[in-house]
Amino acid sequence: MKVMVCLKQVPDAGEGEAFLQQVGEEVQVACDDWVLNEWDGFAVEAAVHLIEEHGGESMAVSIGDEAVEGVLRRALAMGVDQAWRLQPDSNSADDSMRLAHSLMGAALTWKPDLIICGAMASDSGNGLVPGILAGKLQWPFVALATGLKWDGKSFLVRHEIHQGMESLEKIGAPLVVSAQSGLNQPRYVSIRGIRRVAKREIPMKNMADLSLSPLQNHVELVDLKRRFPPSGAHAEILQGSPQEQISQVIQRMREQGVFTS
Amino acid sequence: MKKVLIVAQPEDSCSMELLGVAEVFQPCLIQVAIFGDDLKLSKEKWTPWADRILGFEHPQLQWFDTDFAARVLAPVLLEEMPDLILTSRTNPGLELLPVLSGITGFPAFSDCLRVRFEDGDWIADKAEFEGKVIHSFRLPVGEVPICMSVRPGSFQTPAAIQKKAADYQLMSVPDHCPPRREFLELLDSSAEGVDIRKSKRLVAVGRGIEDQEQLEVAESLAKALNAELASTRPLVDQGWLEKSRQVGTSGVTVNPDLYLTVGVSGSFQHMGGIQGKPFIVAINRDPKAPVFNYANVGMVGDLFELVPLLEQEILKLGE
Repeated sequence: MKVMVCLKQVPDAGEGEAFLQQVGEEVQVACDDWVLNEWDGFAVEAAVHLIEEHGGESMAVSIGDEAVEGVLRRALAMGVDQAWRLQPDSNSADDSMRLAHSLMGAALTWKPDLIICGAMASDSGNGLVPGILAGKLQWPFVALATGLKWDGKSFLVRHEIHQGMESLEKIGAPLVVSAQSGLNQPRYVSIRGIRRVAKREIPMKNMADLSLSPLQNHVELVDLKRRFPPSGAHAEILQGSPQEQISQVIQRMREQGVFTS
Repeated sequence: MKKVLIVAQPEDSCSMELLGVAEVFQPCLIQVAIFGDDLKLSKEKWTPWADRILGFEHPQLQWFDTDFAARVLAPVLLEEMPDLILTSRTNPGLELLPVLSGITGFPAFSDCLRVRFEDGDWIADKAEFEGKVIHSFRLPVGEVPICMSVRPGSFQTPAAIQKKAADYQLMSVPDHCPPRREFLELLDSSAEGVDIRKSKRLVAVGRGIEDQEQLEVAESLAKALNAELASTRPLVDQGWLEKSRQVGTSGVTVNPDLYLTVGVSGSFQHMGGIQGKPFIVAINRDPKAPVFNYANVGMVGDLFELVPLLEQEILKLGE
């Protein structure tokens, strides 16, 4: 079996929102600290696990400049067999159709049986690329997988549908799946593990390497500005010392009848 | 006249809200695509609202197979070329919308919160970084059909029913479209464990709780309040709390009187699981946390200081 896993690097949002900066009327994303998109960690683990169990080969791909080698090395350290960095086809770095177009090139060149992506990226929150990729490839697509197995002939995919309900489905290869968080427990990567793969060569593939012609007639949405939402639009933010705040919140809860029932 | 095509998902209780998006484009022609193995009810529901209903009736659509639905709908979209193709950003919507975009080549916009017409342009807003930022885009309406998913709860069904008495057209499902997903079983992932939907008071914990031992501070408050503990997704993924306690679009929907959040950022995936009008109290150290946009009362500070203090005061009340 061949499993391709698609990765995105995102700003490290672990420490507050320092990477979001107000510049004039806009908010700009200023980040030096990039990490693997959280959902993609589950996708990598699923790919590595399937290959460990059934044999075959796994590959991680990511689109961007040299900086994305960081997340690709992380995937290598987790046990992915190889990695490709795909050269973006234009400056529209975050256009979902363009990203899916590049990934389609990688898929048609490497010919995986299964493509796993994270269900969405923690920055844009779009969740578009996996489905667009499946649509372009004309492969079936299942989103928000919480379980993924191979029975020797087909994939058994458990995934979220609505309101705590999940469905279990049987689907043949080739297939695109997006990983919901909690699909598995991504394995721990030690510093030594990262060092071990530090020298591994990561080939760069451009459009010609992937036999891709440029995307024709694609109309992009025009990216305008970002802004902070009105903060605390509805909440009354309590002031004073912690003790004073507690007295006030008890008072508000009393007024709402919380303690009368 | 603009043409808006609504893709109504069978299990989506918010699909009528998509008419609220169509209203922004008035006057417009409203087409609604419905799916199922028996379309009688769905047809009745949409008839007063639409100019035209496209019915896709097939045994494979007894459960909503989005792969099948996308493959039978896409050729119709390429023929009709509507200005806007709308569906709700539900879990099935997360499958259906991008696949339609991929097949047709039409650009996609995900998770729309607002649409407005401004200085001759159509502008749509979406949230990024879990609601910390709003990002606006100009939609190339009229240049190319746009596939758009809309966040449930962001638009209202227009109050005045426009009695259009839609034309109904039963669409043929092509023979070259064999189903590719075989449905085996429906699973209720929240069926085991405590049913927090029965509790009128909930204390919800989020990522502000950084390890399992820290849960104790919230459990203790819940006990003092005679409340049940609810959770956001990450703590359930870690295995610290049962799935039945997860509130949100992928968890249970609750309707309590009091919802007290502790270290919860307030993503819509979580807040979308709260129904009714509970009194919401939020404790978070980040004053810009989106949870304060939903809460009635907020406290900005260290939960490990505020929560034990609150617990003590509640115990004094002898509740």
